[in-house]
Amino acid sequence: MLDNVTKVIHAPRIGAITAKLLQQSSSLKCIKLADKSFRGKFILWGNPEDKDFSDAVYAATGLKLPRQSGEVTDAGPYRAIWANPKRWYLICEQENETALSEALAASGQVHMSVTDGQCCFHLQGNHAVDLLKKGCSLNFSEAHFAPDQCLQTRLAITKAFLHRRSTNSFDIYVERSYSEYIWGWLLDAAKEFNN
Amino acid sequence: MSNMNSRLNNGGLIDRSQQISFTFNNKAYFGVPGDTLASALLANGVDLIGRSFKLHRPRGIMAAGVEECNAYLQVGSGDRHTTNVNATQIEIYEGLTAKSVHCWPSVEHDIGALVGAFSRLLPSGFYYKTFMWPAKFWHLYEHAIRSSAGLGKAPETEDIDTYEYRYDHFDLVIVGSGPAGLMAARQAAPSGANILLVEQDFRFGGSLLADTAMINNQPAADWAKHTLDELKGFKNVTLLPRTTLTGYYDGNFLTALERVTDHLPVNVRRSGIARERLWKIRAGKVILATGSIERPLVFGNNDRPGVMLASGARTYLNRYGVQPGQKAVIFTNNDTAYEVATELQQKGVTVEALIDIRQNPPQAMSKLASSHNIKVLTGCAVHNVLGKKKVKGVEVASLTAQNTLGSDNLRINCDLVVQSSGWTPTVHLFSQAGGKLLFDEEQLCLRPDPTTISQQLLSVGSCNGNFSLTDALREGAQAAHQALLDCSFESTESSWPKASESLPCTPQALWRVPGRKQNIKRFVDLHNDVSSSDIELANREGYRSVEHLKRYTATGMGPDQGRTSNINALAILAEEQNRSIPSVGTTRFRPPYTPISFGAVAGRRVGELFQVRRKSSLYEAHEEAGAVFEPAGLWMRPDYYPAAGETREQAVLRECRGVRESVGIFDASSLGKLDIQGPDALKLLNMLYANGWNTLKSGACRYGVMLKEDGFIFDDGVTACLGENHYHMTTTTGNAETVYSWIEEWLQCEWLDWDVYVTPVTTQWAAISIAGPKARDLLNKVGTDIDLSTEAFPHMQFREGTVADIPARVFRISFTGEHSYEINVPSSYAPALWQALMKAGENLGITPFGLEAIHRLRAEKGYIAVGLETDGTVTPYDLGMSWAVGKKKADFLGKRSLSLPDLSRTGRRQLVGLLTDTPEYVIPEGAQIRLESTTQPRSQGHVTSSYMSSTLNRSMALAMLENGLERHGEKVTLHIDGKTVAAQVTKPLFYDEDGGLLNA
Repeated sequence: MLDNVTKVIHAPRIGAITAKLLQQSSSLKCIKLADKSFRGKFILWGNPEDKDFSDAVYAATGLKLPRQSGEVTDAGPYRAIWANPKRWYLICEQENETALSEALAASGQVHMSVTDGQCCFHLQGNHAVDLLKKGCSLNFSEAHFAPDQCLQTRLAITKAFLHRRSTNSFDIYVERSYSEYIWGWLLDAAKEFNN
Repeated sequence: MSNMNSRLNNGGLIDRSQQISFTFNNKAYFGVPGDTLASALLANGVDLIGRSFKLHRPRGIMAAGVEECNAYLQVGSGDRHTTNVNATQIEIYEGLTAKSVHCWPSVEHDIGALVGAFSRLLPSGFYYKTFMWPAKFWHLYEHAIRSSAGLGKAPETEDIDTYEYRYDHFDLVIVGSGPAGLMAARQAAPSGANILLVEQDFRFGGSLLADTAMINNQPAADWAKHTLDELKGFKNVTLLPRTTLTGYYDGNFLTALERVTDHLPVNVRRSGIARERLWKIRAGKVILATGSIERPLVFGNNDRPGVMLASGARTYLNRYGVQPGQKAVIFTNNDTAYEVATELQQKGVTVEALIDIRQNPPQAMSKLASSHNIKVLTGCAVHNVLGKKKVKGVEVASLTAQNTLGSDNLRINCDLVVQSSGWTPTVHLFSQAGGKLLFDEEQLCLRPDPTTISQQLLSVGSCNGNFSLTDALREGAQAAHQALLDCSFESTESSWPKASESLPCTPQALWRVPGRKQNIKRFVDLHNDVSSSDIELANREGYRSVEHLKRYTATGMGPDQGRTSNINALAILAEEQNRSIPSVGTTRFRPPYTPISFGAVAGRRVGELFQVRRKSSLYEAHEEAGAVFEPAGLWMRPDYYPAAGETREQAVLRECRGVRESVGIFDASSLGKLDIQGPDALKLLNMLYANGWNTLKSGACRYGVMLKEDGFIFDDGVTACLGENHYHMTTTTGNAETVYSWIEEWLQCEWLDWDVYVTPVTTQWAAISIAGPKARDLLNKVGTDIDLSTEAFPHMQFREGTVADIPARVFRISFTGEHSYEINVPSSYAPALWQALMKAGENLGITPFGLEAIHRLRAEKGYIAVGLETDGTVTPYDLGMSWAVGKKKADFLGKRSLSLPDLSRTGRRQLVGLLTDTPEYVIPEGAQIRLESTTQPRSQGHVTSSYMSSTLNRSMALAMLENGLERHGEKVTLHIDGKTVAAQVTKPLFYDEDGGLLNA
């Protein structure tokens, strides 16, 4: 949606993953892959050293913004993911998107919606780490990549954010135009665990 | 079918209760679980395995491990065809098929072997020297040479298997599971460190599997099994068999090739399981326990089937329960072969004699031999092997003090020659890691110099030049202890079990056994058919550097990588030059240690997954409209939309007419988009673009060109002011990432204090462009709350509102020269908007148009396309776009360079239009415009864009021509494929010169 548009849109909304690929993923056995792309996603910019900025974001969303690479903070329905020293991803479920959009507008801080530009997949299963290790060079040891951390990395041959929700479940954020490739790649790589 | 006539009735790590059938050269055989292809062939009495690479000499199995240099076979066929597989490393499986290479029509009767008869005429360098002249005959030579050269046959069908990568991280990687490696793993396991133990064999244990020594009062192989069972109990230890660590790179980055399914019958290989897995590993610490390889001796006809390394004979005997021959002659320069001789004798192989080149071997050796009734001939050498396709005997003579042959000659009948010349540490990975090697004068081998390594690695056991079993166990335990401490893990004091005493090696150098006849080949590198005379010749011809020797003779090249030949070749070269071996040096070992398939290198990046195909959210809408797609960067974009029966040209001309006459619809989603916000946003724009931006008001758009520091154009696009300190920048499709990186580089490296935030939003917004005289009608018809009157929404303005009830940003900008709107909506709503526009446009004659049409339409208007009219050497002035340069601006990127004399000199190529005298002729893009006026004709320009125009009903082109801005109206000639084409120079604008249509 537009940055601050709150009008209800009746036009149909098309996800990034084709029906055919969604169908293929439903037959996975030991791995679950779900498209969560309509989750609300915003980019927020600001100087965290500036108390006015931090206070304004906190007042509007309840979020205390993470300050370290990999950190994620939550407040009610909203989540903040560290992207760089002055940039965060703010995430919420689809039903809270309008409220978050309005809250950000009210905060007066630099932000924009990337709901339609970024996709989110949820990957879950005992082999989730083995699957990701086929295309991602991160160290998945929990000592290095603990649950509830989110790291920016390369998956297959595309940029991605991996948010580790638990030992064996991940939210994968990729740019929309790469999403079909990544989805297809994950399906292909997951075949090993499908027998 | 053949009986396993060489299989012992008991002993070995095999399962005699089951049989596995396989074929070799179309003949059926049986092996047993635990066999390699090599051991199964030997068990079946198969001696002749293949023919040699160059001379097609008969070859048999020489070793039992990775060092085997003859038994490279072709395994499988059709879509599962693998060439150059080492028979000593393949586990047999039900239904395995293998064939010899380098022979036709069969390995027994090979026509190519005729070459061998002329081997004296085929020394190293023969091909280089012989086929240089006459040069025009090369194409005749080439066919014959190529068909007889090469290693194995390349597959002709697509590989059916899949391959993949695996990235991983370990605190400690141990390479090799012989005594040192197993001991290191056992010492480290309780620490909790994340440990990987890599073994290239399918069975862990390395040399212990064939060793008759005792560890902790149990047979070595039993100790290995017991230790392995213990390791399996540790969750922090990953055991990886069938995996070769192939590369050691900077930063303790390792690559390892895991053969996942090669050992399984084809019918049980599950789909989805990769055949090979290429591991890419980051290791905290690495322990190399890669063992050592036995060296062969260099003597006459030492390549005959039945000549075998002592370690190989021992492995077949003890691990696989196979007698490698009936009557053996042992030929050695050291002690370790004595032990093998006794084991052979004990297990039913008659040892006819043990030939030791040493005049006085240690007394203990003589006693050992006599206690087993083995006759020892000291101070003698085997100078010739008899037999062709199989050893029939050897000729032995005494050695003088000067290492020449005495006049005596003893012939001994045998079918097996077991040889040993000492051991060479497997230092390949150490060398790849950057370490240098030392020459060990006592053991006559190169060993690691630990002072030269800066990476986090330790070499232990025989790969470190310490060959006794006790040393291997001790070094393994101590290294693991040290590695753990280095990685901040707790480690108990190192301890290791007691092992029975190993025989010392103490070899005596005899790098070449003298020959009696010149025509008897003494091979150094069996894999590449390089004999000692080839090395001597290379040295005589001036290839004195070891690197030159390698390349001239091929010694040490190919899949074998000189594992058995390197030291011998170095030593012979040193002898020829009367130098010491260290002063000759060694070639640097490079990855991979053993061959890697191309499949493993490609991994999952094949077929559909080879490359990302970025798709806009309208991709399916284009598919439904019958679009033919064209890659544009990584994007798949519609090139044109053919109606039934239309050619590309017909479709494109129709699409162009549709735009010019009514309205066209175009997917511009892939254009790069950047959201720029912050108090310093305007300052940033002014630096990035050559033109000025201070006067751009909210709601307005402006075109700009970006220059690199060199003053040359690298991108262009329209930027809109969305509000105070908020801009929406567009870039070309191909440069979206580049422009973003360029901006970030400046902001992160030079303008750190600027308060401006740049965010790529290319995929957030889908962009649908509607263009043509009926564009406004279409927008009104589909429904919008934006006032579209010229007064309210003129050209180069931006408005926000709804279109078809979808929130939208609408830019009144044009790349076609027509009245045009670019409607941006969040990507997921774009299909709905496209559908609504198509429906609303039905009665207006709406025409979807693709990349080719938009290129023709923009060229008619003389709009440049970055990458066509620009090539990284073009300034805005060259394009007649001085209006796009802010002359009064204090600064912008590239400003200083624009004042360089070369960028403003006369004679620069400048943008012009070209109209051919023949209107229907379309000049090929890239054609050169020839300058005729001088005695030496040269190019004075080139064509950048050239099309048939439906608007002009003729061809047209854009070109870069010397001083072109001043030459409108001139005639020029182009020379194309030997023909002359005349054309008139025009201004680069063929349509709507006053821009009336745009502004209407």
